[in-house]
Amino acid sequence: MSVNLNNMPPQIQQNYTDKLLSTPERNTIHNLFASVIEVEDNDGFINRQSRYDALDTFEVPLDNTQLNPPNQQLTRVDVDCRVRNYATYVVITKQVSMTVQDPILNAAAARLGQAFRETSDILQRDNLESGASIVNCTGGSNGDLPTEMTLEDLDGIVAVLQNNDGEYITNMINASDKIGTSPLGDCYAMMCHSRMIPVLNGITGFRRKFEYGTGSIGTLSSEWGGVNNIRAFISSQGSITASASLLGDDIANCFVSAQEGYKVVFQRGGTAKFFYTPPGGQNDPAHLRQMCACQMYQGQCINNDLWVQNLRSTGI
Amino acid sequence: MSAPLNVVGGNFTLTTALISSGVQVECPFGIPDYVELLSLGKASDYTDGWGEASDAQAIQWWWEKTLPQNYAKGILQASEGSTPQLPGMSSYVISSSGIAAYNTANPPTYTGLATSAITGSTAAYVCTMGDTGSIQVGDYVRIYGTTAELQIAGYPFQVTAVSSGASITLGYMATGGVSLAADATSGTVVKYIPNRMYPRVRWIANVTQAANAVVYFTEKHDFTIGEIVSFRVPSSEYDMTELDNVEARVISVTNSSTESSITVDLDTSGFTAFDFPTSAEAAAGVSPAICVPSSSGVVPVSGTTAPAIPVGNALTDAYDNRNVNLVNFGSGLFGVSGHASENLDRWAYRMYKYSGYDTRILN
Repeated sequence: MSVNLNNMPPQIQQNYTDKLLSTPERNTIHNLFASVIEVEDNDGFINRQSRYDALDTFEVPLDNTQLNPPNQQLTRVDVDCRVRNYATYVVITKQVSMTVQDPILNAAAARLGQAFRETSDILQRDNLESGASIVNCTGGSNGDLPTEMTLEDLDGIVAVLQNNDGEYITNMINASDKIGTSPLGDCYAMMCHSRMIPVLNGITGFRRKFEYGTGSIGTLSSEWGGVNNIRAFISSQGSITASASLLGDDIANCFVSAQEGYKVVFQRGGTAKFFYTPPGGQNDPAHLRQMCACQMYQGQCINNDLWVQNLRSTGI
Repeated sequence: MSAPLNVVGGNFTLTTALISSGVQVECPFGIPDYVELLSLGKASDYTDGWGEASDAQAIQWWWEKTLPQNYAKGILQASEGSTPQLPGMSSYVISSSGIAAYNTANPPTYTGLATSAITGSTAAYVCTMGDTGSIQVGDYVRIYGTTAELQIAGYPFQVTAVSSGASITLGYMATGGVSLAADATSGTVVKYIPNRMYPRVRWIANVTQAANAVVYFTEKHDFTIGEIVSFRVPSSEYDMTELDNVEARVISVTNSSTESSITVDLDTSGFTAFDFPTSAEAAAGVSPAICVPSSSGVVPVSGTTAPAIPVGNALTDAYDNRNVNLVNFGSGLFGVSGHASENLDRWAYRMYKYSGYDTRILN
């Protein structure tokens, strides 16, 4: 049978472009606003930080007898955080490295780096999901509990954090004379799932970041926008609790944090590392396997339970 | 040549409680590819279990990663008492409450099951269900769509009793003692496996008015003696709003099969009595009353406010990632009709992981 355009062998039909396609990478948002603590090696595995409680105010003046007032007791509390060790690796056989056209070790290193970043982010997400205070959105109209998020809910959570004396994370964005832009107040950071985008866009007064007074200059790609005193950051690995609302719909856990609300703890000698093991060694006498690995140490913790709030929303 | 397999094993002894709840075993090398369970019989009698005379029972179970979660295949041994004793064996498969292997950070999910009544009006919190699925004692469930009991919709609960195919009991909520105005007449119960990041918020089932308040939860808690906790009662419909944002130290803890509670060094005797919102109030929008971990405090002598000697803080309340790889040996393995296991029966387990280093076995 003769060869023609309809029956050419695959090898003839095919060519290969060695520029690799992009691998989807998730926004890592949950450690963005964490205090970073690095602990020394050989110094235990539980990090402790302490906070002194505020003293009572003293508004009553001393009278003319000039007697000393009663003393106050200075107290402190401790917040402990255990650092854990994490690792994963990839095995590449000789057959693969001798056959595949693309730089597979480079690809493996890049993917390990991505896995590390996303794991680190998920650990913090799960920590916030586990320990943060819960506030349901109730200002919406979808008949669920929580409802979809509204401006009233966001203002409410700002009030909660202000009542708890939480410091804003970002400074005010000034107004400008550019058409279609607006100022934004000092802000707390809200970390949420990208499924919240339609809800965010529907909030009265919500400004996409291109509407900031500065435009989107100086913003992260994960920032979606803001309103009043909240700036929203989104990720496809944000926190969702499945089938958890009054009506059984999924709930988006939107973590709103003040400054120093939570932290991530690294170990100095255990920051993320890439390890390459060449073929050979006791278990590989024929030099058939090479390996690359990622290993890290991390702990995560809420510093002050008053300064991190889980604002729960449906409508996603 | 590398070792082809990672293998770990061990054994456990059944109790009446474990026969109902199933047994969970950690697997240190990840999620296993193959799991095997063999009956050893009772420790006091080596003729017990496999080959035992005149006692029909399950003697072996296995699960392989290509099987669905909670399935198991195995062998049932017939009752036979003649000499020589040669009991017949039958192959058997179960499709729920069998063997499941997962990590608690990324657990399997479950579909919701219908309930036709939840007895909140008597504070018994028994959910009538035609199908209880794979729900076992100790499992976590969430309830939603509860007609007439919207105030508990979305709440997490832990199950304290199961009558297979008939009902489950939310005993920790019941022990809290709060009754609701009416029973739910329909709703959905969905089982879930919680992430084990520690510490965890707990939803409040009740708070007593006492010099040292007792706080009840809807599921087991992991607060520790000496830990500082803080309360959130953001919605006035829970009545005890004096508790909102108040910190207290845990002076004793209870985590029994029916009660989950802490006693705190906080005098609530002058506070308004705790109560749940009405169903209508919940529908209008409330936020739950919860207890959140706050910090580590000085450990007291249990049940008192006096510091224990030597004075110190516990490290057991440190924030931690306690997620693990688990193999769950479900209650279905030990309760096959006519072939049930008995109290004090011992089982040996082995868990295998095909080595990632050897691609021939991996593939």
